[in-house]
Amino acid sequence: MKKHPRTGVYICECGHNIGGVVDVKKVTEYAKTLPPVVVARYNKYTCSELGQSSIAKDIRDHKLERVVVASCSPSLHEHIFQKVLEGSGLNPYLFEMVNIREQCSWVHHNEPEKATEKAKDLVRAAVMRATLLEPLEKPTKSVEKSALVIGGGIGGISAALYLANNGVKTYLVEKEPSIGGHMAMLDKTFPTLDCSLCILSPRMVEVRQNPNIELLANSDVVEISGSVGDFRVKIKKRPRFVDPDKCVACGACSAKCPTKVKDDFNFGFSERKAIYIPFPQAVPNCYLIDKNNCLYLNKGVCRICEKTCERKAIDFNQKEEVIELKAGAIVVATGFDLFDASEKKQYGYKCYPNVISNLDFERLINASGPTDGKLKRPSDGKSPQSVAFIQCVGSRDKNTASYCSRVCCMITVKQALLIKEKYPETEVFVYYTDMRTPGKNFEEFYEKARSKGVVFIRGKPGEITESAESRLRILAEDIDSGILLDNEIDLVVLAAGLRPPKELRDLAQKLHASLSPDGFLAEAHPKLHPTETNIDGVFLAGCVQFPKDIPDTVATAGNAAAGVLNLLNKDRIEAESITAWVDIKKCSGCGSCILVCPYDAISLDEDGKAVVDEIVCKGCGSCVATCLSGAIQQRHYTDKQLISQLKALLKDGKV
Amino acid sequence: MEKFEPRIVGFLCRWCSYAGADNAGVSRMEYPPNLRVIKVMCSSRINPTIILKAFNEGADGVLIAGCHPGDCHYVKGNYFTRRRIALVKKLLEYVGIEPKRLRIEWVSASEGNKFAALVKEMTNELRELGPIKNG
Amino acid sequence: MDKQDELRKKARGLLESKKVEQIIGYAKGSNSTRTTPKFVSDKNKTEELVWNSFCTNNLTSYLKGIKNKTAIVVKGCDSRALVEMLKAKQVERENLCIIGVCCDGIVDSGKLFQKIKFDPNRDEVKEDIENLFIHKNKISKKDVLLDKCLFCEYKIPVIFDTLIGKETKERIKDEFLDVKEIEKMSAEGKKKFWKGQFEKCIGCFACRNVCPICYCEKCVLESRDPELVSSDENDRWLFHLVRAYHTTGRCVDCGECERVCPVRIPLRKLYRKLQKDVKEVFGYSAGVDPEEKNVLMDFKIDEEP
Repeated sequence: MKKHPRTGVYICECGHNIGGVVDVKKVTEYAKTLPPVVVARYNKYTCSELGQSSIAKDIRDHKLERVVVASCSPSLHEHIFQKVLEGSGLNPYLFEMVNIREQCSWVHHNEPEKATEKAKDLVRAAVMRATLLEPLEKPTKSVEKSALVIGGGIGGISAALYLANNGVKTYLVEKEPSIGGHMAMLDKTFPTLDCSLCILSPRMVEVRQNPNIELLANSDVVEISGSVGDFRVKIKKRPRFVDPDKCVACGACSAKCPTKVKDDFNFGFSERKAIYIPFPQAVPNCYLIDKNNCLYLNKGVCRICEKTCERKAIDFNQKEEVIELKAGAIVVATGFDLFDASEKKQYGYKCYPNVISNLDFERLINASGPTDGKLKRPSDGKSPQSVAFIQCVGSRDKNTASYCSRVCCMITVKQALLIKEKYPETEVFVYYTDMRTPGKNFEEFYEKARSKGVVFIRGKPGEITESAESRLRILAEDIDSGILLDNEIDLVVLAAGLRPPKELRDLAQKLHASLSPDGFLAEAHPKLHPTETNIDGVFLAGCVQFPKDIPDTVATAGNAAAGVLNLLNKDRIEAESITAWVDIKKCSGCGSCILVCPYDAISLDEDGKAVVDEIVCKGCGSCVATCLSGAIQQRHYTDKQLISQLKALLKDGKV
Repeated sequence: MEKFEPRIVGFLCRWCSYAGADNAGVSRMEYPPNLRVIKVMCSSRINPTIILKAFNEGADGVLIAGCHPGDCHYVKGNYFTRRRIALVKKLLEYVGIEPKRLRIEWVSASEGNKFAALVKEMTNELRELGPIKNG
Repeated sequence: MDKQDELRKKARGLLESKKVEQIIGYAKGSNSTRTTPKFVSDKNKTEELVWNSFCTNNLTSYLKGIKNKTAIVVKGCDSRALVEMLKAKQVERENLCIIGVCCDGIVDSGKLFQKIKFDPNRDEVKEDIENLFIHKNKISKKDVLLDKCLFCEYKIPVIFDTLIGKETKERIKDEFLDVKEIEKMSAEGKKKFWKGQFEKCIGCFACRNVCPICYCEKCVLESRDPELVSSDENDRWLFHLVRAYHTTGRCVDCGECERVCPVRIPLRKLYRKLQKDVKEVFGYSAGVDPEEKNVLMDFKIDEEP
C-alpha cells in the first residue's frame, strides 16, 4: 500500500460562526479516520497566535508533511497559514484550506446536520487533494533598470521626465520627426487659455537636455519580445538625411530648396519644402528631408541644400538604423488619431472648402500657423462673419464610435472664445447634443463663452449643403424651442472626436496587450489599476487608454511612471508559481495550447514541442483544458489533483 | 422513503465566482447544502472531460461558475469556457443527460444573492429530475 | 483515360522525376471487393496502384511520422483529414505531394452482398461511372454506397497538388437526418439507445487507432496516472463521450471508426452530433481551411452559443 504523506487537520470553530452550526467535534473525529491523517484538532480561533502555534508544534512533533485547515474563506487567511508552514520548514504549497464558513455554516444555518456532513465531505476532498500536492518555488528574475516610453506627446514626455529624474535610463520613441504630439499643434489650452507650446516647449527641451533620456525620433517599434523585467525591443530609426549633431536649424537649406509640398503639420493649409523642420520648436531641433518628395532622392538631381549648408550637415547616405534595446518596463503613450470627419459625408468635410475640423481650426487660429493666426475662410481668404461649430462629429454615434470623446465640448468653447476675442463682431454658433464640462473651472469657462455672446443651440444638424460663395447652409432642429433653424454660415468647424491611433492594434499585438471593445488600450482594472495593462510591466498613459485632456494625461503619465519605478526598484521580481508545464513525452506538437494562451506564454521549441515561459505564464489553465492529451498541466491544479477531489467528494467515505 | 437529495459539484473560479459565493455567506443568504465546490484559478481550467468524469462518478449536477465575459481576470479564459460548455451540454443532452444538469453561470464578486438563488434553483430542478444513474 | 490510368501515369511521373520517394495509394486487395493500402517506391511498380469504388481506407493515417517526400492518394473525406493533420502540425506540407481524386462514392460491400449473391474470391467486379457489373448483373452504385457517401459535400478534395478526374455528380446537402432522428427521442429513449450501444463495446480501441486525427503521443483514455477512464465496463460510456468530445471541430466524418468497429457501434451517429452543432452554432466545418482555427480555440466577444 502506498504510504500517504503525514497530514494534520485543523477544524476551526471561529467562535460561534462555524461552531454554532457545524459540529466541529464530529468533523474532527471523522478526519482522524482518514488514512493520511495523523493528527486532527479543533480550535476556537485557528488564526489566533494559539491556533497558529499549535499547528507549528504539530508540524515539529508529528513530522507533518501536509496541513489542512477547515475554517473561513482562503481569501482571508490562507497566506497566514502558509507563513506558519514556511516558518516550520514546510513548503507553503503543501497546505490546503477548506471553506466551512462563508460557503457552509453561514449559508446553511437552518440545516446543521447537513452542514456537518458537507464539512466532512469537503475535509475528505481536501485531505485527498493534499496528498497529491507538490512543493512549489516562486521563480524570480532580475530586472533591467531601464524603461521604454512609446510616444512623445505630452503623456510620453511627462512619463519619460518622471522616470529620468529618478535615475532611470529611459528610451523615448516617437514616430514623428519631433516630439510634442497633438499638444504642439494647439494654440491655447482650456480652461486657462495658456499658450500650448509655451507650456510644452520647456518640457520638450528638458527631454533633450536630460542625460538619462535617449530620444529616438522619426522611429518605429518593430518588434517586442521578452517579458516584464527584460523586454527586448527592436526600433527602426528612419533616416533624416541630416546629421542632428551638425544641424543648427538655421533654415538656409530650406530657403533654397526648389520643391514645395503641402504641409501636414498645418493640415495642408500651407506649404513647406522637401527639406524642412516640422515646427520651429521641434525637438530634436533638426531639419529633415522628405524622401518621397526630394528631387535628389527620387530623380538624382539638385542637391542644392547640401551645397548651401555651411555646416555640412546634409548626408544623403544616411541609412535606416535598427536599434536593439532592453527595458525592464514599457509605457505606452501613443495618444489618439482625430476622427476623419469625411466619414460623415453629410457634413461635407474635404468636399466643401469652408468645412474644417477642430484641429484644422487650431492651426488657423495659431499665431505661428499658416495664416499667422488670422481666421480666414479657406475658399477666399476672407474673414468669416459667422462661424458654426458642430459637436459630436464621430462620437456618441452608433455608426462610428458610441463613446463620448470627452474633450470636444471644451475645445469648442475654447475655440469659440478665441474667435470672440479676436473678432468680437463675428457670430458664433455651437450646435450641440449635450455640453459636457466636468472639470475644474470648466463650467465657468462655458458660462464665459455664453456671456461673450456665443449662441449654443441644442440640436444636431442632419446635413450641411453648400450655397453661394462657398457658404454653408445648416439645417437643424432647435430641440429646446422646437423651431427648425435654417442658417447660412461662412465657416463651419466640425468637433471631430478622438479615435484610437491606427497603429495601436499592431502595437497591442506586439505587446500581447488587450484592447477594450472601443479599440483603445485596455487598462488592467478600470478603478484600481488605471495605468496598468493585462501585461505585467506594460503601462499606459494618456489618450491611448481613452480620450482625456492634458491634466489627466499628465496625471496618468505620473501614475504609470510610479508603476515603472515600483518595478525597477526591486532587485528581483517574483513570477507566478502555479504555472503550466509541458510533459514533452506526451506533447504531440499540435500547438492548440499556444492559440488559447492569453499571454502568449507558450511557444514551440526546436523539436516542435510546446514549452511554457514560466515567467510570463499567469496560471489560468486555459491551455490545460485545451490539450487533448493532458500533456500540459498546471502546477497545484493538475488533472490528477482535480480528479482526486472529484472522486473524494462523490464516493462517500471511500478514499 | 428518504427524499432524493442531488449531489452537485461546482467548479468556481477563484477571482469572481468564488468571491461571489463568499459574498453570499457574508450576507448570510440561505441555500441548500447540496453543492460541493472545487476551486480553480479560472473557469477555463475546466476541461469538459472533467465534467464528463464528474457525471460518471455520480454527480447529479455540475455547476461551472466564472467571471462575466469581458471581465475575466485572465483576459479571455471565460470565452473559451462558454463555447466548451455549450458544446458538451449538447453532447450530454444527445445521450440522454438532461441539459439542466450542467449549468454555466457568470457570477461577479458582488453577486452573492445571484449565487444563492442559482444554487437554490438548480437544487430544486435536480430534485425533480432525479438521480443521474447513467449506464 | 479513366481515373485509374491517370493515377498510374501521374504516380510514375512523380517517381521518375524524383519529386517524391514513395507513393501511398491503393492496390488490389484480398478479394474483388477490397483494396489494400500500398506503398510504392519503384517507378516500375506503379501499375499496381488502383482506383475503384472499393478504395475505402483513409490513407492519411499512414502519414504520421513520415519524414521523406511522399505522395498520397486522397479522396475528399481523406483530404479533409489531411487538412486537420496539417493544422496540428502532424505532417509537413513541403514533404507532401497530394494526389487528389474526385470520388463518386465508395461502395459498402455489406450492402452489396445483401443485394446480390456472389463470391468475392472468385467473381470479378467491373464498374463504370454509374454501375457495378457482377456476372451479368448491373447494380446501380447509388443503391450500395456507404452511408457517409450518400450526403457527401466534398466530392472534390479540398487540398491537392494534382487532381485526378473531375466531379461527375451534383452534391446533396447533408441535413444530418441520422442525428436529428436521435435528437427527436425522449431523454429516456436516448439514454436507452446509447446504453444499448455502449454496452457492446469491448474496449478494443480500434476506433481510436484508425482515426487520422488521433495523434496524441499518449492517449488520455489509456492513461493510468491520472486514470480518467478505467477498463471497467461501467466506464465504456465515459470512454465514448470523452472520445466524442475530443473530436469536436476536428472530425471530418471519414467514417473509418465505424467501419473498423468489431461490434458495429454506430459511431458516426455520435460524432456527427458534434459536427452538426459546430456547423449550426459556429458555421464551422473541420478540414476545409488549413488557416481556420478550431472552434474550441476561438471565440467571438458577443456570442451566446
